[in-house]
Amino acid sequence: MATRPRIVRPVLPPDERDEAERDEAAGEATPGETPVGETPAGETPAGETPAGETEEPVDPDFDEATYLRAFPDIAEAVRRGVLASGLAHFRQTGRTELRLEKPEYRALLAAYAGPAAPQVAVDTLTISPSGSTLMTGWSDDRFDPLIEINLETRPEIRHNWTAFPRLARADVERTVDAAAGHRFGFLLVAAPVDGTAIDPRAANAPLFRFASGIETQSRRDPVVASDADLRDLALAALPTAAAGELDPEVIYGILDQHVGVQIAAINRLIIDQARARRLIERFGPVRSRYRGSIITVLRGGADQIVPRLALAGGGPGADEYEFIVAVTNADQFEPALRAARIAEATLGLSLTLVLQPSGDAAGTGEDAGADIARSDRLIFMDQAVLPRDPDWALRHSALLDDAPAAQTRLLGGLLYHPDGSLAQGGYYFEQETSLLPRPHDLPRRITAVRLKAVTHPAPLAARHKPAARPVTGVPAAFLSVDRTWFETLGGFTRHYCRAAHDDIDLCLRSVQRGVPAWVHPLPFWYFERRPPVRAEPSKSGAIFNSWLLHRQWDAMIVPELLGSAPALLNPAPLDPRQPSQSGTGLVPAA
Amino acid sequence: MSGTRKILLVSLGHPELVLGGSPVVCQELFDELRTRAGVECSMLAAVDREAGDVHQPKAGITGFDGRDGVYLLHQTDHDHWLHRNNEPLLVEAFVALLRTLEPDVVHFHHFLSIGLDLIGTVRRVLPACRILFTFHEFAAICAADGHMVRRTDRSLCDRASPVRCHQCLPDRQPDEFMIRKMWLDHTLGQVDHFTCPSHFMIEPYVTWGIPRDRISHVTNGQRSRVVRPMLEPLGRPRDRFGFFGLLHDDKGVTVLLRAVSLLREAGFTQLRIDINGGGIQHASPAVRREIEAFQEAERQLPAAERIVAFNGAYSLDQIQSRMARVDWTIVPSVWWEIFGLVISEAWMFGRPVICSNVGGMAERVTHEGDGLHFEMGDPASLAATIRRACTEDGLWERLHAAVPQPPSRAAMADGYLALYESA
Repeated sequence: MATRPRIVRPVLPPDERDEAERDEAAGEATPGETPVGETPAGETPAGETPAGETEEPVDPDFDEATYLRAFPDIAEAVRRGVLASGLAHFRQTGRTELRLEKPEYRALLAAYAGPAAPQVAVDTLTISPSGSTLMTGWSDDRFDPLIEINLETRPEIRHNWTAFPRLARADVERTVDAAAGHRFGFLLVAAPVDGTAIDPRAANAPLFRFASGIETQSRRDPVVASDADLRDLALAALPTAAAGELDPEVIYGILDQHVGVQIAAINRLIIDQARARRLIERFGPVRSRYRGSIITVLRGGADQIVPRLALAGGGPGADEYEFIVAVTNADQFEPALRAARIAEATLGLSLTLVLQPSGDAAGTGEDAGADIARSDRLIFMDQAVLPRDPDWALRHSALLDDAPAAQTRLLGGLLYHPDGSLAQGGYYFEQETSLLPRPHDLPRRITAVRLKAVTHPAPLAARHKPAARPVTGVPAAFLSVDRTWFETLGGFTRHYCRAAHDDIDLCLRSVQRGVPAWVHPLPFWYFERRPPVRAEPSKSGAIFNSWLLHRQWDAMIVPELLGSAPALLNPAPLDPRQPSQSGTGLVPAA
Repeated sequence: MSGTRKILLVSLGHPELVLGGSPVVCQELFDELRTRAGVECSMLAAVDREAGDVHQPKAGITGFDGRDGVYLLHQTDHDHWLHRNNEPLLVEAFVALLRTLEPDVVHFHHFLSIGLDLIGTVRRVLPACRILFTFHEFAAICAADGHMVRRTDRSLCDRASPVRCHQCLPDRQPDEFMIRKMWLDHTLGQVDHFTCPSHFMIEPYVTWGIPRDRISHVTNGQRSRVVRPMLEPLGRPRDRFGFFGLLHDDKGVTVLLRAVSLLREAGFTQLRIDINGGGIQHASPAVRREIEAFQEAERQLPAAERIVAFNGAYSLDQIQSRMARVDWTIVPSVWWEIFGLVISEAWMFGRPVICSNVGGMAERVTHEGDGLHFEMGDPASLAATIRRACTEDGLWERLHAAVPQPPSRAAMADGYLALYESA
């Protein structure tokens, strides 16, 4: 017997929930006991016999689905609610009109020799060897709602979808000559059922079940892709699913219907899979104890390794730290090993290379670095970040020694653009209203909570150094965290695409436990002109990340954490040097 | 430490394998230091494909032709942007050489083809070793050939900044220039003392960030190339001029050719110009076209009407015979011309120098004292100067009498030894 390993019942908006509950009720009814098309108790649409009254026996040749397919005018009346069902029409007038004898009905009846299943088409079926699945397609289920889809990925194991987003499909509407309104399309995403690898080519027969109890199977040879590629395909499908719109609200609606949680699970899976395969090579001197482990994920060529290490680790105090460079691009493994040998000969730093192939560089690399770190302090430092002062490591150590523990458990620095303006002085949230342009329609007003960074256009020399302060979050571009605290928080979740919001997510979990992150006046250059390593390249991926962040945290953010100096973190009156509420940044002290 | 001071010179190229001034200077210093008591000198010369079959890309470091104390660093996979090595074998071979020689002083002449990372390697492997660095041009300040000539309009540049440098090299973002500067600051920050062969170079480097107390002037010096007495002609006008050097853009040979055209148009043709030098393949296409077109037009003229003779490249062994054919040496460079070894070579043979009025040329040649200046890059100014040199009675004799002896290699070695000792 097939197991049902995954039943996803997302929270739906009230209007859709009603519809889904109706569908579910219909799906759970036993075929034969509650024939499709029969009106639920208590309702008496036109032509229906009230409950309890004696009914004429149904002609054995009558089949509801075939009847509606044979007579589109009746089907349209049923769809509009004028008629309760095809059976109602048959009882009312069809019997006397000898509809069951009509050639179009007899032909269909003969062709199917039984109730006909609604038309189904699978447009795409993509499966990863681990079992992640993406399926898109449509069904003309106007008269027999599609209620369940199953896909066996290996014997006894199958994906089972009983609630999934239904999507408007203008192309299908044209094909079946239907008026706009019915959502023919579907988008199915599933993370693997368990950790066992599968033969993805065997998963080629999705089974569709309709409210009438009819089932139909469609054969489709799947395309095999990696989990990362499949995730990206799912993200790419979102704008299509939303009829070309990149309206966050529309896509949020789709993500809410199980798609979002499945993509999140696949994101985590991508990182976990990469974690299982790695090579660690250590270079340079070994100390018995390190003040911290500086973790950088390589992006681009390995020729960046030596100069970056020289600049980050060439100053006083840096020899107390170990440097970990995670290389996730297999093409750079050999150049990175060569660079590490040069670093060993020229710099004399304690260096560890982690070679770990992965589609999600930032998350995989950072987790790998954290896994093998040999100190109690993890320092995540983006390749685009370089210390402004050569003695930064000394100052970082002094900070850990001298500042109250609560201010250093999770801390960040001040990241400056090369022109001296402040690029990142901590994260904050702000509620903003904006207008979303829409084609051939009035713009729509949207109010949303947005994640922002404290910035300032004036060069540092033109203003006072800001004081240390608690903030809602600090970026992983430079994030220093007590390792025990990091592990207590559960580390980075890795549910976001390309680790985009993992940093603020970690910080919010810390706030939740009463320990906000602090920004200290440790200045760095931030050469972020190049694409950031954790940038999500697709718009829909960015919307997914935003969806996940807000679905998880909006309840805590609003209203206590709104603003650049939120009341939750700053119960005392504002210092004039603190960032302004406008978010434009750090204001010079009077 | 024993009484012997062990010195390792690191050179951009070997003068017998590549063209260029700094390898010549480094070789001269090596040869001189080898004669000094209490000094044990070695030289490591970086070579690349330009050295032909001598270059062995997988060899790391080798000896050279059985010469005592001379090694070749076989450059390969070099990062020409940050001037660093991508080949670990080479760096590891350098470490091994340091551990073998254990020099008290490592003196870098340039970092091109050598690698800035080798400076840090010396500091790490031999922490007590004194490190000297000689700037032979502006390569640290200027990523565009190290000449500080703006590629936008060929004007002379007086300072670097991320945006200005990006304008010269638009394929590089301003951020990249900032990182390059940080990298140079870091690597050069491990040098104990810097030198440059001309005084005027000090100010740009101090402005750029080298501490003033860590940079000083030590002249370039050469052995004399005079192998026999010069036979000076009597009773004829001093109307023969020589250009010595590479035929690439910044040496300004086109300024000289345009000046000749102006003189010819003005009907002044009683002069002769010898162009001595090769390397036209290093010129930009436009300059190359201009030189070659002039050369072809000159060839088409009857022999009696020709003014300019293209004599081709020469070796230092031939320099006396080339100098003997001319009365004046023209140095029309359109960049700062850091030192101008050709000026020293002209002076060896008593030839007054006519040069551009900037940089190392203006610093060394005294206008109206031992030579003449003209406005850099201005053919009309050069044409007027040439005409004056040909026609003004007693001018050549006055300037010739004032031509100084060029700095000797012994003077150069003394200057460096003083810095080696001041550890």
